[in-house]
Amino acid sequence: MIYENPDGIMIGLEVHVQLNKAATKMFCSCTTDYTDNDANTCLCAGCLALPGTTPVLNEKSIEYAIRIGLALNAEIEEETDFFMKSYFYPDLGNGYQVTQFDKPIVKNGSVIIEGEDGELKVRIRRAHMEDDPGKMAHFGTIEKSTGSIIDFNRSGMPLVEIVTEPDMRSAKEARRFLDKLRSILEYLDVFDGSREGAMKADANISVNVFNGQRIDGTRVEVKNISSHKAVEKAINYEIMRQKDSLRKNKALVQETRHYDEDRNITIRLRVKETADDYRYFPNFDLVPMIVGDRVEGIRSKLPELPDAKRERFVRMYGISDAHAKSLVTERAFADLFENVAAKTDPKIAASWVADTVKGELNYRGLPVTSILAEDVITVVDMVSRKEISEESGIIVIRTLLDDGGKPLDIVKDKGLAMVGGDAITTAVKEAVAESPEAVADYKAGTEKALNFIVGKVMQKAKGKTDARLAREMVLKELENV
Amino acid sequence: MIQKDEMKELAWAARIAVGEKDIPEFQDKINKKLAYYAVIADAPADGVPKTVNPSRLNTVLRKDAVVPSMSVEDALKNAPDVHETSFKIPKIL
Amino acid sequence: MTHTISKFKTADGKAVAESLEKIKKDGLGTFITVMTDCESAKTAGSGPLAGVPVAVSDNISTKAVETTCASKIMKGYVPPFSGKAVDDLEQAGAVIVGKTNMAEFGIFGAPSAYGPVKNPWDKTKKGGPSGSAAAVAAGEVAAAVCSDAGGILRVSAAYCGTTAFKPTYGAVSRFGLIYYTGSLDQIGVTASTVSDVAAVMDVLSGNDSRDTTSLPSKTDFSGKIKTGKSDDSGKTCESGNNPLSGVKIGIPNEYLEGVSSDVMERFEEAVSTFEKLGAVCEKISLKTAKYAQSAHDIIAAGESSAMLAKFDGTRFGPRADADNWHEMIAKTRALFGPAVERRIILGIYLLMAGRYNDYYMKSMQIRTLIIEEFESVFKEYSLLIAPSAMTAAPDLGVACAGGCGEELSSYSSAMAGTDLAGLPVAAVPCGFAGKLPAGLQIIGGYQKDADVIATADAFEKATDFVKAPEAV
Repeated sequence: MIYENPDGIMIGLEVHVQLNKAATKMFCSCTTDYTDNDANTCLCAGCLALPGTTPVLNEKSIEYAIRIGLALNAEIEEETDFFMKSYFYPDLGNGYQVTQFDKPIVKNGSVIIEGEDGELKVRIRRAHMEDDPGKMAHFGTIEKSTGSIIDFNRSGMPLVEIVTEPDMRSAKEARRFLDKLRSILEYLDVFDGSREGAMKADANISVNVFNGQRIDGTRVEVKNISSHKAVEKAINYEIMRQKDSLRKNKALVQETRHYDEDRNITIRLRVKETADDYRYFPNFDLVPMIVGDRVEGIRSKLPELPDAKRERFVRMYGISDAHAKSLVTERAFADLFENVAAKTDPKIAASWVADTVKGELNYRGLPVTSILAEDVITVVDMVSRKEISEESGIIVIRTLLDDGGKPLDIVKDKGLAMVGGDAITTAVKEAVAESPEAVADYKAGTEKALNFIVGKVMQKAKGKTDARLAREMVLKELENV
Repeated sequence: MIQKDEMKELAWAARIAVGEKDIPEFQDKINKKLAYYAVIADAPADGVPKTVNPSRLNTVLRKDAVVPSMSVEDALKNAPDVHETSFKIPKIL
Repeated sequence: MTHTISKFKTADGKAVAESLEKIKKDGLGTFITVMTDCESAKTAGSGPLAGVPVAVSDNISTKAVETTCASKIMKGYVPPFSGKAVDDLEQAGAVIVGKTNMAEFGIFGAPSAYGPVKNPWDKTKKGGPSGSAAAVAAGEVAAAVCSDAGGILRVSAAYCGTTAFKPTYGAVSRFGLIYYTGSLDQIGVTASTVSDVAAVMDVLSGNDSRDTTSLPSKTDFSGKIKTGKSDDSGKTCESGNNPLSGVKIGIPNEYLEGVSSDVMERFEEAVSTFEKLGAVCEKISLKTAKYAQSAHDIIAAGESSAMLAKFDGTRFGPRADADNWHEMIAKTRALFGPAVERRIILGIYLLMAGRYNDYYMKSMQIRTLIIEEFESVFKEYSLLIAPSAMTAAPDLGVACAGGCGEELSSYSSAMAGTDLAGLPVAAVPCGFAGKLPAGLQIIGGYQKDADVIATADAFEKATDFVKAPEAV
């Protein structure tokens, strides 16, 4: 039975995913790599909807959609087809979008996420293929513009729209769903989430409990939210707005709203449309797509997905589930870990990759490709052999990311090699001698005083020693005082 | 039967500015057409699969290989109004 | 004197210049655009159509040459690419001398924004909804390529006494064709003789990876004329023989409804001719025929509402003034002719959620029934024949017979049925009704194009109907 939160919040998502790892668009041979180009330079007559062009489906669109379906534990339609969805809008050159209707290529799947109260299975109702329209920009805001401009570079980009059941019960769950989905899609190598406009979501939100009573909530759709963070904020705003309306006894209407990211509010768009009748009908320019025979071949080539990888990491390397979870969010990250773990103690490798390397990369906003496995291995080795301290290891990682170079050179240039033997013995003796009050406190039973002395040793050794070792030596020295 | 107001709504849905004086003729001709279609009501089509296109082909797919784009000059050549390399239009709302 | 390709070829290199001169002089309204500078004439090469002046209808895109679909909404539109048919013609050495006039967007019953086409046999009569046939009959060009939804090409050929052929759906790429109803439209050819039509069809044939519905292999249209085989039985059609012996031809009663007595007489004589050639002709009944024009009209309306949505003054074409985009496109789209406007509005009405099943879905199901009935008929009969047009060319200014008065998208149930099933059809002259030509059509099974052409050729050789009017 599905857990219900006190407000009876039900959230469903429609996520538009650009299959931008395909080289070409959905129905023509134009490049999908248009992001850094001038407006209207990556297109053909078809993208521009000039008269006299005919669509031909990219085989990769089909393959990628099937990959997604299989990764979402869904059924793949044996024979699928396309429909036209008609409406007039400037960025939709043809006046219709090519999409799917009653035979979506993917249906009845699920994704497991971490819910508010443990594992949550979010059901996937369907996923269908469609093409992206162009992109419009306004002189001024959309409401008060004097005119608009259109760029058709995006027109014809292959999309898969993934539609969930309203199974999420908080903005946080919605965000976790999107994070998980993005992770899966990147594993599948169908999608590069870093490209602008790669993933967009519409959220359906209803509040179904008021004053402790079950009510028939009003389903409001918030459209075109562009980031995962914005999804969380937009949903939270919309929940608040709906609860506020219920409290003030204001009628809620089933409607479509637009999220204004700058103002963090949802607004109703004034649109001069009589009714939303998209007049779906079969696309007569295309032929039926019999795809069932492709499924097993595609399944056999599916990569290991995050959940399976996480389990395997715990089982195979004996690392903590928390580390495993952190390592598998990105496929390249998991690969980095496995490369490091192959040459070092896996548990130590997990800590270095999941905590240190990931933290330093995220802090800098750098991709995982910014660091080489062999360099991480060198650092882990040096720390394990006590050639450098853990603190120095972190300095090496940071330097690698900021200035580049090789670990051994960095250790040498920065003089990070562990201070050993006599030097540290001298430092310990000095530190104890210089801290009579702390020594007295320690002897009187104040454990904390020890930290002060160890800190002094570390200072004298300029961090080039291991804190644990220093602690042991200070304790030994104190026995003699 | 399509009534006058519905006729106007349909014209707007089609985004065609049909003049007020032409509405009755449009109504009349389209309504005659609908009457003509009455014959299909008794076609024995229950449960018959649909045919969208007379082609007997299926699953026609294209290799994922890039073909160079058209020049921006060609893209904009027929444009009624242009701003830099974009198509320019009046405000949307 | 007929205007065959070989005659144009022997015109001593002056064919193109003479063609341009003739178009100017005739004043038949056959062309919307005439090329003043036929560059390709100088570099014609040695292809099968080298140096031969031909025309394409104005809904086939021609790079750098205005393409209007005979509509005001396309005025000034210059495509940045050419249709596959245009490329193929030029590859074969043909010289495209102009873009022929046609019903607006090729929609049966929608008048051209450029005025009517006059009939070269009698300038007070209609030349039909495609200017292609009149251009060929008048000797302006050797052949013309034109789309044929609803029969605009076949009916025009019947009015003007030319031969026309619409192949199996998918035999000629639609790339560059500005079709208004993609599942019913197919590019065809008209010329003076069957062998000329077949020669041009051979040039246009072949797979095009840019059109999903393009057949994977090339159709050999003239193969059976060249080898002398008229059907799969292996019999030869040497003159004096019975080239159609063993061929069973069906004559659907439903396709004879509404045919005028003078055309009917010519048709009955033609039936005797087929029998003399050895064929067995039998009257048959097509149960689905009565639904064909409604289904065709509903499907054409729905498809046109989508295909003609792109004409909005945003990316190309004329643009009306208005202060917001939606008003702007509505005013711009009022440049469509009223018949086109009604077709779009009707399509929108029929596709709306509450009506879709009763009209559109039902029509797609009827389409299946029609295809199935043809398939069963073609198990017993090799071919079907029927008059092409019900009357000889009507007067200019009056609504033509058939579907024109009701603004139906097809001329007749024969035209509608063959479009819905995507079947190959040849239209050939079968004599005269008074001073005007009459024509009949020969319908074949799916991809039986070569059989249809071979039979049309046998009929042509057994008769003497290939004629051209006195100089207009």
